[in-house]
Amino acid sequence: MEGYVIILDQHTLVLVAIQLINTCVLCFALSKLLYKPVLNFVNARKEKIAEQIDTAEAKLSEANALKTEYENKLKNIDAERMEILDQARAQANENSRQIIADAKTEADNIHNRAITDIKREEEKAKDEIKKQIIEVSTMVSGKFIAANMTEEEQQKLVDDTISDLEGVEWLN
Amino acid sequence: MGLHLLEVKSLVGHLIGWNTDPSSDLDVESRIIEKLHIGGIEIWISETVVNTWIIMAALILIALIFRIKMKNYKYKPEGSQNVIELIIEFMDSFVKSAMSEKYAYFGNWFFGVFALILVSNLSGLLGFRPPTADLCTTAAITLTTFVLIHFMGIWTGKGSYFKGYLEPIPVLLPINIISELATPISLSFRLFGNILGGMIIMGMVYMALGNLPSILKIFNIGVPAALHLYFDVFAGCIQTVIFVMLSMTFIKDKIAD
Repeated sequence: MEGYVIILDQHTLVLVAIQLINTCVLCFALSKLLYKPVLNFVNARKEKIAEQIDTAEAKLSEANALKTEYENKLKNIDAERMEILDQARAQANENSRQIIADAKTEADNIHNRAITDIKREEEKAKDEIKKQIIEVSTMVSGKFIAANMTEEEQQKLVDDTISDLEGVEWLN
Repeated sequence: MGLHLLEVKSLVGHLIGWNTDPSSDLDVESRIIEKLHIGGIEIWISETVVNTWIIMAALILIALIFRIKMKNYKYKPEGSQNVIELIIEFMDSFVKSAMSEKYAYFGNWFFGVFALILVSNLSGLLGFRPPTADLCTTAAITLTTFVLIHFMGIWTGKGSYFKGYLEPIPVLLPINIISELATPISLSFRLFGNILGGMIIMGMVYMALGNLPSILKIFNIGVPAALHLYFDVFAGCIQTVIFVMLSMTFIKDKIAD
């Protein structure tokens, strides 16, 4: 079979033309079928990724701002808590003081009432004793007088005794 | 006019002092499979053209498979999606680094060129005659680069493009024109020469290995693989990158920003 390694004649031109068409057809087909669609796909993804990175960065800065805000709030919360605790403590102290004071007043009242009661009972007892002494002395002196005294003498004695009794200091 | 099989064989034989036998089978020619006559023009459908069609069909098929799979592509890539995205992004960043962000659309063109040259260079591994081992292929690809260089130069530079040929002094106009014409020639011949050279060397190595005395047949193991690795894989990949990189650089140089 005929062949060639290098030819430089009109056949070269024809072969070059054929190969030129072949090259153009192949380049066109590969560009349409593969290069362009894949590159578009890849570029679309690149854009999407870039967009996602941008979004992520925006969200990060937003989150940082929120974080700072909440940290500040937390710091304030600490201060607020301390304030509330202080107030509560003060209130509790005040309450306890009030309760103790009330209790003291109550105790004093009870004490005073008891003393008054005791005094009244004492008075009562004194009166009772006075009466009994009078009765007893009346009975005794009655018996004496009945034995050796006149009516006048008797009356005088009674009066003297009563006035004496009134001068006596009764002790507890 | 043409350099044919026997001439290559005797040329190579003289160079390395090998006693060449014209009937031996150093197979480096691009065979003409069919001759068509359309409108009085004889069109050769050579091995190069057929192999190019096979490579194109394979590449377009792969592209179609990925295109269909792309319907299921996810935001988080997995499986084959990673591979294709890696390849396309590599090409995109390659174009951007060589030509700047503004001209990233050249990736559409150079992705095809890159794929065609790379697969052509590597097709030697599968026993094909690489289409890039034919000057017609490399000349055709380089022609597109040449057109792009000057189209972009005129489109972006307007008058300054033509003024550039008279710089630094008008006397240098012929030299400037020659240097512009040398660009596509060097580009096409570099790729063509590298791939054809590798192919010829591999053909010679197979010939030599076939004629070894039986005690040395052990060299048949491993030696061709290592050489294929260098001439087809390494040189093939490097030449692809060089070709595309230089094309992009030449175009970028002419763009007046």
